[in-house]
Amino acid sequence: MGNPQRRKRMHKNNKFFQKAMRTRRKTRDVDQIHDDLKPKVLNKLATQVVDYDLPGMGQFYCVHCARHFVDEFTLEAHRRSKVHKRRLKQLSETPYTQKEADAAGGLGVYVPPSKVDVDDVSVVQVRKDVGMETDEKHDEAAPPTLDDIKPTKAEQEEKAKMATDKEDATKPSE
Amino acid sequence: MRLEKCFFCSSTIYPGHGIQFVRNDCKIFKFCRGKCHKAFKKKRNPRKVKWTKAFRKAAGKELTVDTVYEFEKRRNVPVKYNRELWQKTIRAMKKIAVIRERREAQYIKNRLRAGRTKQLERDRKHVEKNIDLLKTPTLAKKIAAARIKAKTTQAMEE
Repeated sequence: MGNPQRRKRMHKNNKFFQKAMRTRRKTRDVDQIHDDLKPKVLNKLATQVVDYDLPGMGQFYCVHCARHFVDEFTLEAHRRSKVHKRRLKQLSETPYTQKEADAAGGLGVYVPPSKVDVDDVSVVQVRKDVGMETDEKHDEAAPPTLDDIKPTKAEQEEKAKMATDKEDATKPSE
Repeated sequence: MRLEKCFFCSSTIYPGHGIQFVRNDCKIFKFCRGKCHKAFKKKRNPRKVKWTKAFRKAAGKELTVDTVYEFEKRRNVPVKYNRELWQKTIRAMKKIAVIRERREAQYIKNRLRAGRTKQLERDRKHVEKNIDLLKTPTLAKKIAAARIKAKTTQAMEE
């Protein structure tokens, strides 16, 4: 009659929830992020190639939350947010594995989880630390990163230093 | 035939049961039932979900450090059939199971004992605090005396 015949957006009819749960929309799991935080992978993620399809051309990535941001300002704002801090707390324990599940079920000896030190590093910071090294590694064919387009003062100085160093190295051989 | 353990709740998965998820980095996750699969999809941490074995072990609800857990293992080495060995292992398994259950039960008992002593302490304090409620004879006398006083004063007034 006057009342709706069917309740809206309850339980199974919650479209947004169902969509977010789909495998197609799967985001990175906590154990994957632990792998991402290893220095080698972290450097790679920090110095991503410019991708026009990604937010902020893929230059402002929060590794801990596996999210791209539009610019440095929003990335920094996110790093100060509750979501990010919650994620850091999640990451502060050793990741759960099938081995632990087996042990808990009686297959082997159970070793309780231990704390892990998670460095709350920003991609921008990593890029500054790594600086030149990664720039040189890029293939000429690969599209340039934002840093290549407009290098900072410090990098320019470093580049100049590197150049002089090379000259010095070549002189004695002559 | 292999009996797997559920990634989420650590229960045994028998052949023909459950579901398997292969992540795009080739890692395999096995689940015993829809409940566990759903919880995984919601990114729940098995250590934080109270009904999982991982929670019970991580939170110290169950026995974890004991030699009885060193027998059951995934050995990955096929053993040639030997009647005597077979019989012996079966006998040993049964014995170990009995010992394990006893120790697990004892662990829980010991754990709960602390709560029992605390409860007793709390009860004692409660009684001490409200002791006047229990002293009924004196209380009754007081009430009776008050009543008589009230009656006499009424009579005097009249």
